[in-house]
Amino acid sequence: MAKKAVGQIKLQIPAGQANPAPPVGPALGQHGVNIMAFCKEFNAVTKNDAGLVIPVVITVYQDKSFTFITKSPPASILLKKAAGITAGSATPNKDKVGKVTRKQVLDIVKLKLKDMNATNEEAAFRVISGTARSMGIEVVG
Amino acid sequence: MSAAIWKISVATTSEAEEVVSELLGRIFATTASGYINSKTGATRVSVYSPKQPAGLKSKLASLRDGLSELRSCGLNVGSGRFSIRQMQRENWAESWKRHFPPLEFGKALLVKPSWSRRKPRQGQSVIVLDPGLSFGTGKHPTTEFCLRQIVANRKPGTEQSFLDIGTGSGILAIAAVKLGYAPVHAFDFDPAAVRIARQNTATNRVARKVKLYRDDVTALPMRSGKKYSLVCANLLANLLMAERKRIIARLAPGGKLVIAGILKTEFAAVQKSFEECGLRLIASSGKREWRSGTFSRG
Repeated sequence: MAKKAVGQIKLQIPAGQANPAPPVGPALGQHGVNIMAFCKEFNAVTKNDAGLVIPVVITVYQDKSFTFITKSPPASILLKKAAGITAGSATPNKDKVGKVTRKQVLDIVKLKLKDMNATNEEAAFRVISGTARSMGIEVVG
Repeated sequence: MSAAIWKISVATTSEAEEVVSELLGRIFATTASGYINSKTGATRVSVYSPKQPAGLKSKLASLRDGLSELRSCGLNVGSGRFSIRQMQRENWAESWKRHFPPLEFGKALLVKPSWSRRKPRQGQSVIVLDPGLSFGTGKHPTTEFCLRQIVANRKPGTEQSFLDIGTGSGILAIAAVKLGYAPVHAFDFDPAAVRIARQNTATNRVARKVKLYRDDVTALPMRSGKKYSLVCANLLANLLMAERKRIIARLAPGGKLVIAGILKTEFAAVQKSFEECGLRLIASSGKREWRSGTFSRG
């Protein structure tokens, strides 16, 4: 059928735990998406990924039907893992809490590129580096 | 439901959506969500809080600093303009349903969601269909045109077969069965659509009367022994034009072909391509940016 997308909703939801509470409820509800159908499908698709936070992109069509795809783990989680820290800095411009090398950033870029809005590796590198800096993680080397 | 929830949003770009989401989520210690308008590309990321966030001023200052930091990395974060507003707390599991009122297609057909208590008129066929993962609730102008044509072309007391190419939710095939078409065949390229259409035919107790299968219109044989009185193809303009011979090969002499999924700007080219194959346009309707048509063979 003729599908015309009106928008994309992006969320990060713990695997198997989608429910109508915020942010899922208001984010989907204001666009007329069948929240319970989404939660049921998402939880079924992610039931084997317990413990992971799953980024999901929901495409909403003109008749308010939807499709969704799940993505690779968020850049912040990958950066924290690479830097060996558990949390980012609350004041990233003052307090640096860790370091990652350019190679580590490039490895994350390779993993995330297919899921990113960036058009090429260089733009994706800027996005991941920006994420690192905004978390108080320095990019070195 | 009482009390409001707080929504803090930042206008940004699709390029910076992910990184601004990370920033906003970290400052407000919650998960951010993003929305990208497909038409304009306008992008907003938002967080929701059950009450006024503590230390809102300092959090907003951190947000400004964070956005500056991202700009200094060479990222196009857009305007970075933010808004803070209170939203009425709703029963989110239910409130989306207001977008789906029952729809009538003439006196013959009523499409309604499962929660609707709307009673059909005398002699009116009812389709129960909940919106979800597959396309086609009757709300979309292209689906609406197809449903109206299925109603308009039914001649009670006569045998009329029906083929639905790109069935989506299965709504057209279900409508065809309810109105008396037989046999009714329907297929879709997307396995998820076939699965959802099966569920919908079962819900409407017509599963045994619809032959549903996965198939690809671009891979259909150029000739077909099976011909149908009415064929609906709610696809896309380029696909309709490219595969018109395969589609027309399934139309019985004197049969009608309903095509939809065509933008108004594309309709003239589509019409010409089907008329060059010997069909004649007998009905057409435009709504919003869409135009659909019914063609006659012979």
